[in-house]
Amino acid sequence: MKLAVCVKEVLDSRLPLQVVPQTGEVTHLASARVTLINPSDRAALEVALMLKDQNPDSRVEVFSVCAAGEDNALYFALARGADSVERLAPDRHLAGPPYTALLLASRFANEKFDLICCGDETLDNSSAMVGPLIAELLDYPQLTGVTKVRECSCGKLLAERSLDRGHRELIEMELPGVVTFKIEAAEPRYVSVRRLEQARRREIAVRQLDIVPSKSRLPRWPDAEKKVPPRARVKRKFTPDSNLPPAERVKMIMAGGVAPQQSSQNSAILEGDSEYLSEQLFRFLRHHEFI
Amino acid sequence: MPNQFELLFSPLQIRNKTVKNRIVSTAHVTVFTEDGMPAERERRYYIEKAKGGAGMLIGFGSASVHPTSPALDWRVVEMFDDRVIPYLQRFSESLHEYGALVLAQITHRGRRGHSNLSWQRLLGPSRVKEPNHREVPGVLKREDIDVIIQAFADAAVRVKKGGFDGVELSAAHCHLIDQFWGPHINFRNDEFGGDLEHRMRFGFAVIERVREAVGDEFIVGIRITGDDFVEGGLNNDIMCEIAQRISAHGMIDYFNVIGGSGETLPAEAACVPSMNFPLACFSYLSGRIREVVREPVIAVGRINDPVVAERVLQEGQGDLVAMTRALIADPYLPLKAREGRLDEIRQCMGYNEGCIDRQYRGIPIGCVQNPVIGYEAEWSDLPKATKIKKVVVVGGGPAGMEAARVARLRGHHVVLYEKSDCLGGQLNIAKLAPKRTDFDGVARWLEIQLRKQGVEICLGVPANVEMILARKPDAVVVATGAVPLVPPIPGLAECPYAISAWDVLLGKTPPGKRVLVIDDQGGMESTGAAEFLLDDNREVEIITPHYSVGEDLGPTNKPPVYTRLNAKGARMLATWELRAVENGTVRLRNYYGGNEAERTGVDVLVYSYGGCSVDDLATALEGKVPELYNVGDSFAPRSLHHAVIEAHKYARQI
Repeated sequence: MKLAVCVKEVLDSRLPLQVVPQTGEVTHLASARVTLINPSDRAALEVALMLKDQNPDSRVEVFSVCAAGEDNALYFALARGADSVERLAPDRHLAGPPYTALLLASRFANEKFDLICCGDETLDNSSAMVGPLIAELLDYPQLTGVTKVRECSCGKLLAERSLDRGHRELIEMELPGVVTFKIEAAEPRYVSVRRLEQARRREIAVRQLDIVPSKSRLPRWPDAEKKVPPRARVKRKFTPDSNLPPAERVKMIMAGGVAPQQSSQNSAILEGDSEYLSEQLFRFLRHHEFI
Repeated sequence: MPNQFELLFSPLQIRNKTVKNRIVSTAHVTVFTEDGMPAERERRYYIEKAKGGAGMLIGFGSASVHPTSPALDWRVVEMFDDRVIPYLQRFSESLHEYGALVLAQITHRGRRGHSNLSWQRLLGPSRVKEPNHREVPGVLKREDIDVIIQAFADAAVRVKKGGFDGVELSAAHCHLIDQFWGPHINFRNDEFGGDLEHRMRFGFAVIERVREAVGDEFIVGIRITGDDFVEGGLNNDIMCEIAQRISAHGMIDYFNVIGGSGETLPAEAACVPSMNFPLACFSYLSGRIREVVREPVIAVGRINDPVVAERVLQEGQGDLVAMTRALIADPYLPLKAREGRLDEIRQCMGYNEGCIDRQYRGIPIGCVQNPVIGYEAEWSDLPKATKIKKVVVVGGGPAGMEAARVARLRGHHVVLYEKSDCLGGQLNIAKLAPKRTDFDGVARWLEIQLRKQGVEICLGVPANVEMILARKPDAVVVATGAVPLVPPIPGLAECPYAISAWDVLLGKTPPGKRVLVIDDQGGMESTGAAEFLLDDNREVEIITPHYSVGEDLGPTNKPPVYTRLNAKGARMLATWELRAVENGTVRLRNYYGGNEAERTGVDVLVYSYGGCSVDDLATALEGKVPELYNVGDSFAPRSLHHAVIEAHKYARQI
């Protein structure tokens, strides 16, 4: 099996950061630039390496679209056991997730990979676009926000996805395909300092792809400042009757919008084993749209 | 989740300006002014908010448009004088640097206040006194009304000359504009009184004159109440009608909707809802107004967290959210939320004693959790220590934790000893009282920061001198807190059914129906314990030597506490003190008259006399360590606010 992993180097947000007002660029407050592999890319890499552990014939190749000197994530991958790493040099004047995706997709179009693993979002831009765009450009199926890979064999991948409000989904995908992983998909393996040093001494292959993105092929990188969401519809909330005395109205609000006598009538005490109780609680919360 | 705060961090167009996100710090009095001018202290206070990333900053609560507005009690900005313009220019320039929209509130408070500072008689639409301040105003004459309308316009022009993006007219808290609106206040029989159309005429005249004066390229907003919670006043139905008419009139750019009014004490407490109210408790009011107007609406009232704020926006209760106190507790809330550092946000708990309750007493605001507020010039930067030291902190209450946090941030190696098995100190007791659970957040935030920064925390370890000296510390901070004070009242110490208010909250109350609570402390201790026992179905009588039970509770805390004590059936007796305790009989004495009385058949006697410092360790360490600091209650038993400020101050000196 051939596995491709796309990684990116990001600034370590544990150190104080600042936004340069003129350019909108995020930098460290101090002059030092401390970077690490994007956490969810790290999880994607780890999943790929675990799949390789299960099936030793596999090959894990790691790619990063970045300028020279921003390839920390690739060294990280080498140290962890990637079979090869490659830096795709971008055009200096083009940037943004659509362009990154286009470069990666062009690279993957020439050489067929069974599984393309990406992180689901980066620490800096959080656009969560690159993985899905690669899949669309290659016309591959895609799974986003994967939290666990259950099984990967016979040209199929069985994985768990996390949905909104804590829901989980188990889903199967045919390979080749693109998967984006969440941070919790895998804990990174330990690597010794010696291996890190060995990795640092290696050369990183660079590939220059001359691609001019045509406007029709790529979605526009949205300008955050101009994106105004539509006016939200008013959800009717509990409002005390204006004819009630003011003290009663305030009391109702202090009680959280519930009159005390009503709450005692509507409340119910459930008894039973924990499984039954948790099921009932879940139904209650669901019914009242808390979850 | 890439879009956890989709609406919160989206821009919004207001007239010709774009606000970069939906987070607003609304106008509030700071009592930082110097001679009525927003000088350096005010500016530095607001700069932190602008740096922190809030989208819209509305400055200067209740800034006066005319000298007849009673303003000296809170030392508000005097917008009626041209000498304010240079201060405004400096102010707006500083905030614009960080991309915030900057507005100023202007108002005439009418009859809301006292005339005993300015010696100018109060003015109102009619001769109806405000129940809160209880002073009868003089009636505004026709020609006086014209002067005040023009004063509004002149003040707005000064704000514009000061480089601001807009001005907000206050028609909330029962100021002059909404005094005219009120059917229970305005009994005029000229063109400014009568039906709603006539009662609104003064407000419209102000709006029109202001708009004419500032032109089209300037935001003019209005702050209104959504329900004033006053008998016969401006309830939600009337306010929806008023807002609709203002919107149809078409000269106002946004509505800023509070709950409550300054008119009565309970309504005033609702204006700035304390922890007695649920989160976002008045968003239903802004939602109601938003249904009937086209302009953006600001939802107000205990929106203390970006998650709550986003929900208010998603549910359409407002287009912007007022997070004023949330930004006092942590001016950097917007930045931290945007970067997903939610556990680093110091959350406003709605205690109010540090901010609004100080303002209502006419003293500069602060924050019980954030010691920097009001001292930005001195404390907004936290420089690293020049020499890294070994620091031992004893006591894991708020003072100890704040000292450890600041010392660690400055680069010292810090170890913290706490004798119990959890951090929090007295906060762990305070949070047990009814409607006081939010105290828990203070300890939680401090603990998270200590663990993140790598302070060595030793729980369940009662520190002693040998142990501390064995660590060879360069500095020791003692924050060993206090225990309940038992005053030398005959029979009290030996009384088997006497219990401190702290122990009541810890669930140690002996059985028995009839409870007598002695409130000498004057704060939340005794009322909290009384409520706790009322919830336990006991009969409670609270007796205090002061003029009222909970004498020192702030104006935004006392009314809700009284509301609940009343609803739960507490009896209260003021001006009587505890004299002696005998078997089943409690003797009382009138604090003023000296005459005696007694209560028989008392099952439980709860006493609340404040704390008594635990300072043996501090005494024992004297002269044995290079630097020794005794902070918080172990130095002198006071409030949370004192503990945090003191710990912060000394931790900066280590």
